[in-house]
Amino acid sequence: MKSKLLSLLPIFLLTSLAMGYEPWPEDIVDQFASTPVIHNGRIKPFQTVATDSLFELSGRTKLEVQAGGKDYKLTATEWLMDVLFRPEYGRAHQSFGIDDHDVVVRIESMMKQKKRDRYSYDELFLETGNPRRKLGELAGIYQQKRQNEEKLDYLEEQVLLLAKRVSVYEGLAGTMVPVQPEGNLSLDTSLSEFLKDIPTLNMQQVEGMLRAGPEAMQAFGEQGASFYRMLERLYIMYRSSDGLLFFPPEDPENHTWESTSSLIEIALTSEGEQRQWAIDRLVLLENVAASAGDFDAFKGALMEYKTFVTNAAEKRGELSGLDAEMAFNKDPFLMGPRIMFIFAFILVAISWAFAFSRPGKYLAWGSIAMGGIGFLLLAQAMYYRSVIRGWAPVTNLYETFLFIAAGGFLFGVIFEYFTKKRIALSVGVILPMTCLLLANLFREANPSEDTLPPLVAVLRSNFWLTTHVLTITLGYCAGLVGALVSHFWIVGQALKINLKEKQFYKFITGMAYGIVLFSLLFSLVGTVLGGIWANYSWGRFWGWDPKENGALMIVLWTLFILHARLGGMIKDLGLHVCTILLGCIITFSWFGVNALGVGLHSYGFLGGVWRALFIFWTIELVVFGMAVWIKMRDNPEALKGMQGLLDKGPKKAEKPE
Amino acid sequence: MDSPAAQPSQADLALHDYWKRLLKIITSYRLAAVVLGLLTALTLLGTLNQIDESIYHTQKKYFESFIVVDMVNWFPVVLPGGYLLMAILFVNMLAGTLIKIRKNWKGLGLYIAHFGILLLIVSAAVTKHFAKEGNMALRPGMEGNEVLSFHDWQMDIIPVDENGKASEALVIPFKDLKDIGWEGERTFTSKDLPFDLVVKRFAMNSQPIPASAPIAEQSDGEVVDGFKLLNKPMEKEAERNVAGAYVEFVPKGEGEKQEAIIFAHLGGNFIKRTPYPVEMGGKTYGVQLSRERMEVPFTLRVDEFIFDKYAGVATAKNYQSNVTKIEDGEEESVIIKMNEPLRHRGFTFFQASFGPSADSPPEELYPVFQVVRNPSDHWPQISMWIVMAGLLFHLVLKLLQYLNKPSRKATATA
Repeated sequence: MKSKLLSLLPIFLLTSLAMGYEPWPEDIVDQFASTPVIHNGRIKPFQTVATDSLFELSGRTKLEVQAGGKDYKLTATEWLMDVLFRPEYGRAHQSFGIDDHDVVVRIESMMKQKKRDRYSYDELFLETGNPRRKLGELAGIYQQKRQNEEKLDYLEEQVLLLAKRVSVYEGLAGTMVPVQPEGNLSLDTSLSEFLKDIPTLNMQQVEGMLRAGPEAMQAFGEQGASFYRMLERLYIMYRSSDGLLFFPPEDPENHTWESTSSLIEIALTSEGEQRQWAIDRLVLLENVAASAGDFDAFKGALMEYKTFVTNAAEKRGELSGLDAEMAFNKDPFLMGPRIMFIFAFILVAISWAFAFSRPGKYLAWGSIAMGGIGFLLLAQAMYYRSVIRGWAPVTNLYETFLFIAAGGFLFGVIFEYFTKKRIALSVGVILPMTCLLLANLFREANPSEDTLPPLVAVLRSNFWLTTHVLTITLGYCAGLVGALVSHFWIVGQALKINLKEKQFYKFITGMAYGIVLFSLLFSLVGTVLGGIWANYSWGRFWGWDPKENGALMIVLWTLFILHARLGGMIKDLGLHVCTILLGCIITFSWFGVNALGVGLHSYGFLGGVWRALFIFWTIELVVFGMAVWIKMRDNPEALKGMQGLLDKGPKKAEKPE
Repeated sequence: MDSPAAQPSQADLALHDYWKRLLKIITSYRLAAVVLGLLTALTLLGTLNQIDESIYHTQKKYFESFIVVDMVNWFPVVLPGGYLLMAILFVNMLAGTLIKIRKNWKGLGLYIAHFGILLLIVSAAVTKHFAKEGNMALRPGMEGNEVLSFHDWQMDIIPVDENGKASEALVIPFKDLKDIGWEGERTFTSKDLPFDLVVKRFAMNSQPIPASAPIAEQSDGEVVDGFKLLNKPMEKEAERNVAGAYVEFVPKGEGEKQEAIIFAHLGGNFIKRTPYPVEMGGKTYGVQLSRERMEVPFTLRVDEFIFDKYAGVATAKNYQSNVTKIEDGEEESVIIKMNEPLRHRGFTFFQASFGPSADSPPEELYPVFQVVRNPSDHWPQISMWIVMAGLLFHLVLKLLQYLNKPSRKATATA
């Protein structure tokens, strides 16, 4: 239906960009950017809609445009303004990222001869033989295959991806078609004019009339055929322009805003004041759309629309998160904190070369400062994210990365304060850096994933989100810190760094053990809290769901480490191996189980997860190899009969630090 | 032996030694570590198993079993099951805590934490053995007090009078049916019935098949009225299993015995069941297999069901049932929604689901409640507070010890 909608627009065979491009004035872009709208279930500024959508379509947040021999770099907001208000540009922008050119060949686009990374809507679909329809058909077939749990090949997946992207684009562009001068009912009248005089009809009547065909329109006399055509177009518009919800509704209790589609329905099915109510709003949009060629007039119309919506929404108390979101949008991909932690890591890495000499100390302080700035930027972003929706800072997998990054730095700095060996500090910058890099990586691998989606019913409880989710995430965090600390011991021993400093190594062991204790506290309490929450929402404390099992494995393994050490089954080396294994278990439980595709917690954001996990586990295998080598080097006898593990005599229990 | 001065015999010594050694093993850290390690492995396997098998079967096979024998890909796995490991862990923890942990304030935190975990294991056992659960679906305007089991079946024998009116049914509960199995049989008799009922070939998941159909060869059951019952493997979603059985009605006095295949219907509260009719001793009875039912000691009426979605998307925002609780003629309005169940007289009602399907018009939607009766409902909560208090106490103590250690001061200032 949406693909039909865009075909209502006139087609420019020579793409309009060849003639040149006129960028939007900055002040207009700024005004538009902060105008509120509902998209994907949540009130947000147009800037967020623009950034998320362009990112989903192309994997980027900016768009390069070549027009009339000049180069332009468009922000996402400018791109969206073109899509909505200057559709001839919108369709000419190369918004669609396509990784595999075979997709273009398969849908039989005219671009099949030209291999590129990015294509415009017109390039893909302007072709006799209708590649748009071909894409729809193929997507339907593959979707069916997926529903039948058949495996799709790479190309089929890519076709589905393109279909999704195209539907996102059409969803956006389609919302404005009914109010565009070119997209109107091909009459002298605009949509609002047309709706003023039409008899009151309900949607079933309209559908009935359309089914009956133009012949049944005799009653309208000579106008019958053209009325039928208009109604048909109106119906297509009604069915496909609900991608953006522009206006707060009349009913103060109702939280669903009105789209052009629902305004058409209200106007069509009502009369008198109520019809006028809908038409007034359509006129506001029509004015904006009609003046896109004249920036002064456009600004006037845009401000009129913006003021109207903002006032109405503010009266309903719905704009509490808008300012925070505009602030957050300055760096929605968290580049700032990521770079600061990378710098912090570089500084602390160099500082190791200077050991505990003066330059080393300065470098360490520099690292703390950089990490500190990164931490503050990250905390600010998390605060904004929290204010935007009014929920606790961790509600999905993406946010756990941010929280563990922040928590890792705090753990690191606090332990560093007590230990002053720079190990905790190193861990405290490596963990956040890795988390932020991974968060970004996963986000890039899943461009269609909204990281601030509306919260599903079961999660809508700030009490449980703060208690269970934050506690368990802190448990992950502490365990990972412990695992990283153990790497220092094993790598140091394997490379024979300062082996004489027995005290130093003993100290690392004590630290790892202490952190494991912390991890136990948070994981255990967090897991039980999760059970208690489950008992409140589903009526069972424990259901052996994969995510629950993941948490349980962390708790059990932590307890194993503690008791095995008390029982003398593991000594220093064994402890570090077990702690690193704890890290592997944590990564499995944290995001591996989500990718199993079963259970209650298996929510999206999965592309790239297994690859990242296997890379990580492979690295850890190398570390385990080092551990075996250390064991063989230091105690060649021990491996012969695995006496270390099987010795039945009571061993003197080592007291942990 | 009475006199303290008497020397213990050699045998006594050996016995004493034996007990001592056993106690040592039972209370050992090593046993704890081994059990915890095995539990970790078991949990991992039980998680991966869910890719292929339902959570219900995984639970039975891995976590509620005494021994696990399974193939993971081509790799044979033999492990002690979750139930056994939990039991060993419980004994080990109880004995170990009593004997091993220092009996002064240094050990206090650990004492408390261990007892918290013991309580958690006890509550798990109580839930496993005593909790009952099922679901209740009510259309707006409907009243009800009957909860249907998810997995268990019962057989009802309903006397019907000459006017076709049914009176109270005799019920064979699930516990008497489940162990009959496909090869076994069991005879049920009642002074109120003119016949003995022999149930044989009880299948948890079954399908009646015309004897002429090619697939009927797969069943070794007898042909009754041109049909055979096929004993099918369990469904991945355990709720989709359909129980079935062969039955014989053996008259107590004169007359021929009658045979029949009885099989259950899927479906919830709204499915009208058609019991199998039997005439014997001049009376008519209807026989049926149905989801096992449990009665709650009060009545619920659904007044309204609300299903809110977020603006313009399919994501659910709120499921809520406005209900009236009716007890001894008194009515009380209650709201049941996600995360806010109704708890009353030992029963808890959760807003679990809704019907008939997600794309039905809103006025046709009805809520489905999960109903649970669990004596240890709140024990995990109590145990968590205990564990948290114990661990916090212990950790703070350790931290203070560490900070006061002279060696640390020396290294920190160095």
